[in-house]
Amino acid sequence: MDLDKIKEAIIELNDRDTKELVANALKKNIDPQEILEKGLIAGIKEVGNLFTRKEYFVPEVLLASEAFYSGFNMISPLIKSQILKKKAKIVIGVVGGDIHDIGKNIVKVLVEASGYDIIDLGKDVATEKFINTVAREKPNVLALSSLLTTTMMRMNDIIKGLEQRKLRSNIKVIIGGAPVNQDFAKKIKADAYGKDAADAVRLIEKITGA
Amino acid sequence: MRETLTPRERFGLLVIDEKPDRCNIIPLVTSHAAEIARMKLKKYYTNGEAMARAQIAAIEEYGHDAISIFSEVGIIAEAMGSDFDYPDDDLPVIKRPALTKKNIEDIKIPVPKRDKRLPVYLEAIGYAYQSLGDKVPILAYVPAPFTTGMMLSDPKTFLIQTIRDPDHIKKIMEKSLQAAIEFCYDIIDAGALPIIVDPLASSSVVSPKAYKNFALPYERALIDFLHRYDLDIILHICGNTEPILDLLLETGADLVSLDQVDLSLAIEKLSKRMRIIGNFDTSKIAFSSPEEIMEEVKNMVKRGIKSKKGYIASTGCEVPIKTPPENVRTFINAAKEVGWYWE
Repeated sequence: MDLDKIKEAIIELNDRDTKELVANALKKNIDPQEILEKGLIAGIKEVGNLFTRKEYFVPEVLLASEAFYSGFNMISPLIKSQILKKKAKIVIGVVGGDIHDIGKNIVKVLVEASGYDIIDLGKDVATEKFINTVAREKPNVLALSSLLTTTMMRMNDIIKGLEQRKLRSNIKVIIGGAPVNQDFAKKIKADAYGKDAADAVRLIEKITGA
Repeated sequence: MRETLTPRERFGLLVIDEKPDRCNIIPLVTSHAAEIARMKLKKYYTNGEAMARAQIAAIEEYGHDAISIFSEVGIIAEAMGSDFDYPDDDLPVIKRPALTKKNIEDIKIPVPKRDKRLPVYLEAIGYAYQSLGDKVPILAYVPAPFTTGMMLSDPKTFLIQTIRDPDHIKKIMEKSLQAAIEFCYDIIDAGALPIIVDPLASSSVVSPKAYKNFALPYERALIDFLHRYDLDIILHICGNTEPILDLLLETGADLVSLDQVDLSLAIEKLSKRMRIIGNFDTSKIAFSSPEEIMEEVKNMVKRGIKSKKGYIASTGCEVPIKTPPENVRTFINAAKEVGWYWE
C-alpha cells in the first residue's frame, strides 16, 4: 500500500520517489500523521537498524535522511505542533575542536523523527556554550559527539563543568562518536553511550521514559 | 630482561622477519608530544623544529620505539587549497574545503617544500633525523587519497558522491594520489618512513564496497610506488576495520595498524603476510587507572607476539593529547614486561 511504498522509497535512498509518493498519498486524503509515522518515520527507523547491522554505512544514511526530509518538509506544515507533540527536550552538539558533524546530524534526524524537541548547537561547540545552554534550556538530555581521539576529552570537561555549576543532577548526558565507547562513558561519568543513531534513540526513550 | 637493540635495529629486524629482542613498542604519540614538551599546540603544528623538539622530548620521557611526525589528516588537502584555522590550543580546524571554491580540474598538485604546512613536516623530519635518526625510526604520517579527498570536499557531499557520482570521486582520488606521491618523495628524502593513514575509509564511515572501489585501489597505488624504494610500508586505518580485514591483504601493505577490531581475528586473517600493529583502546589509555592499563596491555601483547610475521604494541589511534603521562609509561612498561621474543 501507499505507506509501505513511502517506507521502501526511503530504504532505497530515493528522494524523488519519496516526494512523489507523499504527494500522491496527500492527494488521496491519507492522514498526514499516518504518512509521517507509518511511511517516513518507519522508513528512516529501518535505515537506522540497517546501519546498526552494518548493512548501511554513513553515505547510505545521508541519502536516506535526504529522502526523509523531502517528504517530511511537505508533511510538517500540515500537521502543526498539536499533533507533533514533543516528548522531551534534547540538546545535541559536537564538542569543541571537532567539526565532524555528520554522525551528530544522523542522530538528530532519528531523534527528531521520534518526536523529541531537539536543540542543535552544531559543531565545534565551546564547552561553556554547552553548559550555558543546559542552564538556560533545562533539557532532559544532553547528547555529545566527537569523532577524534584528540577531542573526546572535551566531553569530560563538559561533564565536570556541569557538576561545578550544579547542573549535573538534573540532566542525563549521553555520548557517541567513533573513538568513544561504554567504558569511556563510565570513566567520564556520562550516563550512557550510544553506539549509533538508532541506539541513541533507544537510550533517550529509556532515560526519559517517553 | 636486557634490551640489546636500538629502536632502529629493532624495527629493522622486524621487517626482515627476524625476531628482535622484544616487540617494538610504538604507542601513537603524536600531538600528545606537545603536552610533554609543555608547548602550545599551535607551535607544534606550525613549526617544524618545535614539532621535532616535542617528539624528541616524548622519546626521552617514554623511551618508545619511533618518532611520529603528525598533526592531523588535513595536511595534504590544505596544501591543495582547503582553508584551515589555527587555534592556539587546538589542532587545525577546516574552515573551507577546496572543492567548495573550485573544480577538481583546477586543483594544483602541491610542492611539498613550499606549500602550507607540508614544509613543517619536512623540517621536523630533518631536525629529528639530525638528532636521533641513527637510533630511532622516524614515521611521517601521510593521509591516503580517500582521506585527503574527503578533506578537500564538503564531507557530506563527498560521501553522497561515493554513491551518486563515482566518476567524480575517482577524479578526486587521482589528484590526491599524485599529491601524496609528491609528498612521499620529499619525506623519504628528508629521512623518514611514510606511514599511510586512511581513517576516513574505515567501516565506521563507508561500506566495504566503497572501501574497495575508492580507497583500496589508491592505497595500493601509493604503496606500490613506495615499494620501488624497497621500503616496508605501514597502513594505518583507525576506526572499525573488521568488515574489511580480508580486503586489507590486497593493499600490499607490509605492516597494518588497526584500531577497533578483535586482535586475534586480525592476526588469524592477516599475519601470514602482514605484521600487525595495535590496538589498545585510546579511551582506555586516557582514562583507565595504571593498574587496569598494566593488566590489559599485558593481555594484548601476549596475544600480539604470537603473530607469525611480527607485532608492534601500539594504540589503536593517537594517544589523546591530555593523557596522563603515567598512563603512557604504564603502557610501555607493561609491553616491556611481556613482549620478549627470546627468553
